[in-house]
Amino acid sequence: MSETIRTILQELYELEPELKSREAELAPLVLKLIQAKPDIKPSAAFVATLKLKLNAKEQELMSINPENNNLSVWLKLASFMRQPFMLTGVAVIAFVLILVSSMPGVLRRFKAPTGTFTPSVSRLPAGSFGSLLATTSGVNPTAGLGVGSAEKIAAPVAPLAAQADSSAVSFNETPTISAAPAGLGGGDRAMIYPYPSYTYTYSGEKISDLPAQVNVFKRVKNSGQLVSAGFLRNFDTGNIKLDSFAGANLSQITFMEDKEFGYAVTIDFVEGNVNIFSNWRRWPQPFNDCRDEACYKSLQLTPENVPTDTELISLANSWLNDHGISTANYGQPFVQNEWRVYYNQAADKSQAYVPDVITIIYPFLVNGQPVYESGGSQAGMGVNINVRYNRVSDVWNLISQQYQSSSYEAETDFDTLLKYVTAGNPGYPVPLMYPETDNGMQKTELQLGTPQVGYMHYWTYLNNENQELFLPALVFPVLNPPTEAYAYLPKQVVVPLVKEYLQSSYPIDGPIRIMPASPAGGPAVPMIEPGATGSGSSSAGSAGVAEPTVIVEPEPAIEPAQ
Amino acid sequence: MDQAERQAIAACQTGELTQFTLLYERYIEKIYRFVYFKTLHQETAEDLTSFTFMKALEHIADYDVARGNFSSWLYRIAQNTVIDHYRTTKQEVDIEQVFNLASGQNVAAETEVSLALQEVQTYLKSLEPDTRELIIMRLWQGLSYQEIAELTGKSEGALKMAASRALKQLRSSVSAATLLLIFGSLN
Repeated sequence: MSETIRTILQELYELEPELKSREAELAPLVLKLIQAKPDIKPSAAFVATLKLKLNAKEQELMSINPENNNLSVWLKLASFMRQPFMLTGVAVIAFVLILVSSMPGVLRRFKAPTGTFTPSVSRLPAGSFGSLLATTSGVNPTAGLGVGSAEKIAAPVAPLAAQADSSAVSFNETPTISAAPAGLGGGDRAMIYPYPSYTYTYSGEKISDLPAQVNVFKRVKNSGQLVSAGFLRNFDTGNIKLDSFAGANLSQITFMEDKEFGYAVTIDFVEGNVNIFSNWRRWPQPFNDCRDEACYKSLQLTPENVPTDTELISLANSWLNDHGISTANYGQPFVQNEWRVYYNQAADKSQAYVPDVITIIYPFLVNGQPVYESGGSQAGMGVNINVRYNRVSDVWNLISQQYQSSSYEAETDFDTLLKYVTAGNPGYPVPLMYPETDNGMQKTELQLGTPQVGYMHYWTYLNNENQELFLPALVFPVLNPPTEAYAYLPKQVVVPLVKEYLQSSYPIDGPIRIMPASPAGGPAVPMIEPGATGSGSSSAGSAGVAEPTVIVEPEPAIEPAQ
Repeated sequence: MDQAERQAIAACQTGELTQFTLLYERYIEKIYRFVYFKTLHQETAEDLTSFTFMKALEHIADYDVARGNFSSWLYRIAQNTVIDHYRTTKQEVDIEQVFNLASGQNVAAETEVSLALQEVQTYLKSLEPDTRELIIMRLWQGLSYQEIAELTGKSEGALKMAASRALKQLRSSVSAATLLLIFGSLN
């Protein structure tokens, strides 16, 4: 008997205890009454449209009540850092790290104001983020810190014309394998022939009544912590007057646990994020002593070594909890299991790759909605687990969640939006993966279902600054995602609603390509050595002392005099 | 009301209205069903559901947790919206449509059980309107007696008594053969 039925009956027994003797008859009756419930559900199109309208209404109401606007908590953190006791604390750290034993206390005092990682939004006038056609860098700066946007790391986005041209040329080339940058997985050129050809057809419900204005969100960062000249005087290198660098900003702090399986933690005040990597000097490097292939093969993991998704997520949750990292403002975590696709399709399993590190994504939520990279993958905080040791090895994209929002004109015609997906025409602003041609390629028709509302992670470059934006978008589920080994298995197609983006004659970033995967058997994810993305500070450390060491990195960088 | 819901409400009441999305996602299906069962018309249900959430968003600062669950507050807005709709349009609702829909969309695969369900639905239709609505709200919409009491203005005790009477009535009305079929399908 289900809990629901038990509850319903129990409620009745409380009033009429004698009914309990009739339970054998009542229970199936209640069950069948429940089962007789008509399957009434709102249509997905209605749910999505109403959500957009509510989002617009939320912003409208918030703009009427400007007291709701929040200051950047990172600015509050900066203010906090200016307090004398913090400067003293950091100076003590910087002083050649002699007083290592004082560090835990300092770390405890380094406390960001409550809410730094709690989403808040301040409303700005329409169009405050400038033209969304401001030239993008094409690269997600945070993605380089871990596994997140393989597409962008591997293949900075070219203008559409260039993309279309190169695609067209590629189709007629003789079969070859384009080399991907070592270790970076798949780029657009890293594909084995024959290229697949995809077309989209829409089989969902028609969405009407789309809003004319949508709110674009921008993540608020910080310009760094202003450091006083007095603070810099504490760095006595003996041959340089550090306090001559007036108005220097403290951009990062990195500290490292000097113990087995220790971590290196970097707080980036400029980007407003925290990244935690394994301190590779204190983690075992099992392949270091290998001199031949047999050695490598003997150490290669097998799928049996990889815990289940539930176990991995449980391990990650537990670690995050131990370190006070809340996941309350993220979506449901999921494990990136693309490697299994390649493994399962490999004819020779001995040559197939089983990674040591498995990534779990805790999806970002902006305005309560999921965020997608332009290629359709879900954006979020990543937690890497080294399955050889069943330990969390890295946490990246732990970002501040202070946002500004500003309205932009939106495309309201659903049919027009669909054309960006279904037309299969390289002339459209949105690149459509590889357009259909008649050169005998394998052709696959992908079905798209009714879209949900989400945001597309997007970057522009304005006033010498990367702007991290989130464009409202319709996110179409791919109902029959390709299973070919060379396809990167997108589950969604993301079409931003912002008109300026869609109508651009100089397109910026293709939101809806299926990304080809790495040709060499490895998953199409960037395998960047965490230590390599750090500040070069991993050499610091105090062997044998099981306390964190701290490196304070002012900006601009200060090089020792020659 | 769990912690996430409480936090979202608190955030909304301090002006962080973007948190309303969480509440929307939790209740959109429930409110839509609630409205649909009272209107039996998809477009009308969509309009009234939209109006309900817009009104809730605009007035969430007025919600007082001391005066009941958030869900009750939301259902009350939906109920008032439906009442206003009927006052304006003076339309009548044909409850038969619900059951026609039910028999077409949510029957068990086996023919015998399907027939049994139809018989149950037939008897459900025979209940007094108030009692039938009570059964629908409790069994189909999953509202608690407290929520139903807040919506209908009746005491929880009276509602439970009515539900008990309805079940007894159904038990005596549904044929022994049907109950046997129903009971058998559970095994």
